[in-house]
Amino acid sequence: MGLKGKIVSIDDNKLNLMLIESMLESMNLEIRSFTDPSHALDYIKISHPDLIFTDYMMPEMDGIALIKRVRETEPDVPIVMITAVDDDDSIKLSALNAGASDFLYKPLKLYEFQVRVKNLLSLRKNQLLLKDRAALLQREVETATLKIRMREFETLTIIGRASEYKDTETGNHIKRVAHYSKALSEHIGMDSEFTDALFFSAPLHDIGKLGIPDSILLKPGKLDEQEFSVMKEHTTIGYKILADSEGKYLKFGADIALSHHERWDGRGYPNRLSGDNIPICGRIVAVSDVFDALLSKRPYKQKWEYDDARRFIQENGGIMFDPQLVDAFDKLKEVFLDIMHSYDDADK
Amino acid sequence: MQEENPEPVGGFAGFSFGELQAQIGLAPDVLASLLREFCEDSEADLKKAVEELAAGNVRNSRDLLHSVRSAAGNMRLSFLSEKLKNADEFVKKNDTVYVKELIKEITDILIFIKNETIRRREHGT
Ligand SMILES: [Fe+2]
Ligand SMILES: [Fe+2]
Repeated sequence: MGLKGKIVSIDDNKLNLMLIESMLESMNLEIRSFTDPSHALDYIKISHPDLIFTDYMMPEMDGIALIKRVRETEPDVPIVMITAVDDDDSIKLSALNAGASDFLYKPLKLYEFQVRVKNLLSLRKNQLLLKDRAALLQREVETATLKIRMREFETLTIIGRASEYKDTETGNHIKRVAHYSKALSEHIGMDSEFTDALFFSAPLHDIGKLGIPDSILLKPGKLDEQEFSVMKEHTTIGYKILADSEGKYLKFGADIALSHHERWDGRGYPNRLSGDNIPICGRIVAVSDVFDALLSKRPYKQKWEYDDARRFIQENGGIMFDPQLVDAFDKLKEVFLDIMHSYDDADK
Repeated sequence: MQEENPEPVGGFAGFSFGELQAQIGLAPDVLASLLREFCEDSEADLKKAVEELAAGNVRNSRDLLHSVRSAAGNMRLSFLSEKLKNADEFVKKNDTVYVKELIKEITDILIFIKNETIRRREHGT
C-alpha cells in the first residue's frame, strides 16, 4: 500500500494482539505489541510511533487512562480505541475527551481494519509534512529577518562612516559611546532587544552634524551665542534625517539624535525636556557622550584628566544626568576603563 | 485417536472453520495458527480463573474471564463470548459451582475448536 509507519498495539489479551498483527501482515508495517500498558508507554516515549491501537478494558490501566498518558508526550499521533459494540457511549465520550482519534469495534473485519490503518497513516504522514513545512517556513522567516537586520546595520555603518568625514570626532568616539551605552543599559536592567537597538543606533547620535557648516563645526575656540544656536540644530537635523525610516534601528537613532542633549534638570536642548520625559535612550547616550567628549581633544577644548571627567559626571547626577544612570556609571568603573582602553584613539 | 474423522468433543456444531475464515478474511493458515493459540491460551486462562475464584480472588478471576471473552469476540466466536459473559455473571454472584460447570463447558468447546482446526490442516480442506 506504499505507506510506512510504526504501529503500537496494546491489549491485555495476547491473541487480540496476534490478530491485529496478522491483519497488518500484508501491509509491511513495523508493529510492536504490548500486553502491559506501562511497557507500551515507555516504548511510545522513546519511539514516537505513527499509530496506536489500544484495547479499552485492561486490568492494570484502562484504555482511557493510557490515552491520557500518551497524550502527555505525543499530542498528535492517531490513537484508535478498540471497543466492544455494546460498550457504553460514556466510555467512547471519555475516550474522545482523553484524546482518542477514532474507534474500532470488535470483532475486527480485515478489510475495514486495513482501510482504517491506511487512512490514519496517511493522516499521520500529512501531519508530519505540515509540521516540517511549518518548521521550514519558520526558519526561512528567521533567516530573512536576520538578513534585513544585517542590511539595516550595514546602512547604519555607512551613514556613520559618511558622517565621520565631516566630524571632528574619531570613529572610535562613536564606538566607545555605543559600548558605554550598552553597558549602562544592561546595568539598569533594560531588556536585550532595547540594548541591542541602542548599541547599533547610538553611533548615529551626531548624524545631524552633516547639516552644520564647517565654519562652525571646525571652529577652534568657543562658539558665540549665534554659532551655538546653529550648532544645537544638529539634534533636530539628525532627527529629520532618520525619523521617516521604517527600520527599527534607524527610528531608534532618530530618538537618540533628538534627545541626547536634553538635561535632567530641563535646561538642555532642543526641547528642554526634563527627568523621565527625556527618552531613556537619550539619557543613556548623554552620559556616554559627555564622558567620552571630556576625555577627547576637540577644536575648542583640551582633553580632560580621567578622574576629573568621572567627577564631572558624578557631580551632575540629578542636574545634567539621570541619577540612576550616574549611579550605574559609578558601579561600572572597571567596564568603562576596559572599553576606553579597547577603543583607544591611538592614531590621534 | 487419529482416525479419519475424529468425533468432535461434545459434538458441538456451532463452529465451522470455513465459515469463520470467510467472515474474518485472513488466510487459512494464519487463521489456523491464531485459533490454536487462542484455544491453548484460553484453556490456560480459564483454568487459572477457576483457581483464582477458589482462592477468593474474584477480581483476578473476572479479569481473566474478560480477557478470554474479548479474544473470543474478536475471533467472532460469539457462542463462546455469550457463555463467558454468563460465567462472569455467576462469578459476580460467587456461584463457584455453576461457574466451574460453565467453564468446563467452555473448555470442551475450545478443545473441539482446536481439534477441528488440526483436523482441517491435516486433511487440507
Ligand atoms: Fe551631539
Ligand atoms: Fe558625540
